[in-house]
Amino acid sequence: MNETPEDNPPAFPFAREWHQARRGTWRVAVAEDSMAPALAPDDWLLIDPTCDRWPRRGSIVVFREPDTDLLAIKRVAARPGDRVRIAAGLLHLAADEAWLLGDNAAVSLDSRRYGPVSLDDLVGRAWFRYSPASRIGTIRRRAVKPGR
Amino acid sequence: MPRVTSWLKPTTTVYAHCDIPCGIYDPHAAELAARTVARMVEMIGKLPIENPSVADRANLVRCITIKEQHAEIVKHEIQVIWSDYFKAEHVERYPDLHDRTWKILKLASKNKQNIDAAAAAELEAAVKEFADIFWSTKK
Repeated sequence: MNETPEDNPPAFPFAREWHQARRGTWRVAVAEDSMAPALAPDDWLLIDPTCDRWPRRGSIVVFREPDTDLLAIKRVAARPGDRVRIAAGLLHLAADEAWLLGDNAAVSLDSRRYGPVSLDDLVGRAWFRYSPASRIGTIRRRAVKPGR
Repeated sequence: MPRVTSWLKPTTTVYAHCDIPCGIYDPHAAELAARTVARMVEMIGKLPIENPSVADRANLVRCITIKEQHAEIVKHEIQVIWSDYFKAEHVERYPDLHDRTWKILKLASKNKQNIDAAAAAELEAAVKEFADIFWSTKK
């Protein structure tokens, strides 16, 4: 394979991260309620688009939703290699798959509907809320129980 | 100050999708179920008529069961989208919406009662048109 200059961003520190961050999605607005109470509709978030693998369990991630290709936001309930209990038995997640669930389990449309999400569809990790002013701050990880 | 907020305002929306109160509807389930009905009719047609083995008979029963179940799924999914998703403004835009829905429900019942490839194809086409209307209201 021929390497073009575009494949190799300049080699100063964090060049690749900066490169990706500039290009990627990094400010988003939340719509809908399935992440309540952690996130509410119209929260404005900063996204870290540089993550190239699934963040730790309990982190909130933005990804392309498998069925619709819309950008969705959910919490990582299980990571590659984990087992998830589903109706049909135990599901073993592949090396690039994560199980993503909404906090508001009763209404959330998530991996319980569309199954595990591939790393290719990961867009970034939500790490900071900058609006509304009353709830500015870093977004905490939270324990989640995978499965249904 | 308004200028600062407009500069800060995110340009991308991420959906914390939920099923119930915010109304995420999708006609795919109905389309898949209609496809399944047609496929079962096709499979039933391929089963041997003379001297069927026990396995053939079991297959026949399974195909019929699945055909009827999926015809019922079509009815359910279409009914939910019709009653919960479509609003008066949609009916204004598509005045034949009620009639179409009613016909799909009738067709699904017909497919439960009969093994009829033509009726199955008709159901599939009608559900596809219903889905097209659904998606056109999303634009």
